[in-house]
Amino acid sequence: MTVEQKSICFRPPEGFETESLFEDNGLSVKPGKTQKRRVRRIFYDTFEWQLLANNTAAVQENRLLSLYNLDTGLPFASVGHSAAARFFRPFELEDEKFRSEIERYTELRALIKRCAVEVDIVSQKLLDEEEKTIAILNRETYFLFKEKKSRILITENLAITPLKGFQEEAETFASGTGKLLGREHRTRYRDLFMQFMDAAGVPVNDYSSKIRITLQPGDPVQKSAASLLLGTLDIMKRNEPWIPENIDTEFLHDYRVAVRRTRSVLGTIRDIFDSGTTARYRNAFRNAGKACNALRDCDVYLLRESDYRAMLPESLAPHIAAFFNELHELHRIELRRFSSFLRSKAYRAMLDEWNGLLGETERNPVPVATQDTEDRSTLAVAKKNIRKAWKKVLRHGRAIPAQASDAELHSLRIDCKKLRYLLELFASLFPDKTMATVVRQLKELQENLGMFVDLAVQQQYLAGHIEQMKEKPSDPELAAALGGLITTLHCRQQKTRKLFHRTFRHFDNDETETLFNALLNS
Amino acid sequence: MKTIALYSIKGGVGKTAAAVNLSYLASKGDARQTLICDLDPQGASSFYFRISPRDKYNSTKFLEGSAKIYKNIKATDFEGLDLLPSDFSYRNLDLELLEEKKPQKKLRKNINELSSEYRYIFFDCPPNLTLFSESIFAAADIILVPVIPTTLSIRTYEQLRKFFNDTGLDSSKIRGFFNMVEKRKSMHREIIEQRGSQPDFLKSSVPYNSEVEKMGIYRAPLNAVHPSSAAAKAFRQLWEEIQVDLLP
Repeated sequence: MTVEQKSICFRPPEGFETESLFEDNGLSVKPGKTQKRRVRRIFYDTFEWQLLANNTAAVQENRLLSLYNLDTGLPFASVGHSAAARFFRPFELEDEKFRSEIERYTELRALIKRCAVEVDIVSQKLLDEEEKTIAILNRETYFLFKEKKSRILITENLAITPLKGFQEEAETFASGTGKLLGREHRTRYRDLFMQFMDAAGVPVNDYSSKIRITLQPGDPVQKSAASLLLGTLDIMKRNEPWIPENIDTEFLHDYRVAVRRTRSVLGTIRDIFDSGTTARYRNAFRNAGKACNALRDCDVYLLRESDYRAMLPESLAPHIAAFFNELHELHRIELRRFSSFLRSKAYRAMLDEWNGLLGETERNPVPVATQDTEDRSTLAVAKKNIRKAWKKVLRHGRAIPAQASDAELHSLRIDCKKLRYLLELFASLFPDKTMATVVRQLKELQENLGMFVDLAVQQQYLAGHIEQMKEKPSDPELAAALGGLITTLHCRQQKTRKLFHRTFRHFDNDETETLFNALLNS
Repeated sequence: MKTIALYSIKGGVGKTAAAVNLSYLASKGDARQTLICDLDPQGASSFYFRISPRDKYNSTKFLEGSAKIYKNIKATDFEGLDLLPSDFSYRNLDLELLEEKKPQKKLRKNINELSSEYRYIFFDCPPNLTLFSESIFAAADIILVPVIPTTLSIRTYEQLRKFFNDTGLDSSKIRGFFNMVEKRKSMHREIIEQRGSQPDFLKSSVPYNSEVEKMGIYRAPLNAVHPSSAAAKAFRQLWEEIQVDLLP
């Protein structure tokens, strides 16, 4: 816990002389010697701007990587980091303390270079009557730095940065500065950050994997479904170019979630298109999902490398290396294969046609001819589908006996996922608070089921690897290591299985029922 | 976090000069955050760093600990080195400590809350042996005692060790070092020869040097302004020995 120190910033008007701050200001603050320096700062953030969302910027300056608080303008963590690379991954950082600071915002996403600025800084100490430094006054001129040393002026900034314990003194000096320059010249580091991104042509907060489409309750469901599907298509398209670059695992993850959501909409909301069209696209997106299953498996297991090593006794842990070496090789092959799928003419043509169809449906939603007379407005369909999916989860969950089988839990997991997608897709139609509580209750159940199925899948995968080893030269230590992992995973799975009924009861109770009824009868 | 007290029952033995210079040396290197707590109401180390306490800061705030302490810590002009300034009201600390439930443990408790911020904390202590001194003894990992090689200075050092033994305190925390040494004086040479070889004394010593007195004019650590002076070199050697022998 520290008392907050904060830089105070001003945008100096054109022709402003710093010296004028010390003329007849009635303050006892004197300037120290002037020092000049030039630094280059490279700004990083994740694809989803997770640092900015937390008022933070990752900045590389010379050989130092720092995390800045965009409110205070001050760094709160730094680490030696030599490479000014295009991207870096948090888990690759060696310094544990710094890594944990970044991992508060993102564990899996790489930090991507967003822009580079060059700063000319004229620096002066601000001294009190005892000649003690109370703050640093920096006149900073920012340039957008491009290759071949060309630079374009972005803005100027006058920053008063107090030393620890001298915030009040710095504020007093800044108040004099404010009077001289006018309060409208006061700025914040967050504004500067936005100016840098703007100058670099980098759109900020331009991506979220979440559905952010606001639906109109009275719109025909075809129109709303088309909007939702255009949203998921956009997420697919945004991630596609990054997947072959193999920067982090979340591009593929988000792509796959968007594909699954697409399939879910097509599968649960009937009569958006005629049955032939629906079947064609359900099939096309099933194939897209299948095409990257193996690649995602590789990602998932590679992310588990340190966990797996930690699960094994020291005598066996090193022998798992052969398994991961093979996975790396398989990942390389699968990445090439899937990248080529994404580039394929057939896939591109399918997406183009899909885009055209959705655009047309959104603009001109023609109801598919059915014999039903039911209400096909978005809200009515949403309620009906959510109720149906919820009841299905309850029915299937209640039917699972005390000794829940893998297949039963796996099937229930899929039911829950469908319900979750429906809740998320149609969230904009319902009150935020009720929806958030419902999703939280469901999430707890999904976590239990997810963990259970995940543990089962891992065991099958590792057992499959042992099976393949029969055809290869013998590596008994690796087989023992894989066997050890399967045993540990099995123990964990049994524990999760035992927890299932308790977790399900927590979902299948009066409270959740009241919440669902409030949501669906509103 | 390691806490190092510069302590002596006797005044004028160079506690403040040692605390200022050793804390400065500790703060150099790889981002070693260091805090010097000026616990002496005379506020000499605060003066050396040109820092005054806030108007509202006093001994009561100091004893309240936590946020009250954080709020009053100030950066020196030397990167990585902060100072908690003294206030004249510290002269009342003993009386205030009497009202605490566990006065001896009070300082340790307050300082522990700073452990995530600082790697080293130095105490520049007042010259006496009071309840507050006992609180310092409990809070310090190492008690460095500057000893002028004279009979009286050695006597007070032995009094301190006896107090520790009589009251069941851990006397292994105490390390003496000879300060303001004048090799031309035979008594200094003899005392160092007799006492300096004992394991409770550090081998490094600091010579008498007029540059140390001039710190009152420079108002900065000697190693920051005159690193090539004899005393500055001696403080560096002393800090190296402390790091190797006492700060594993």
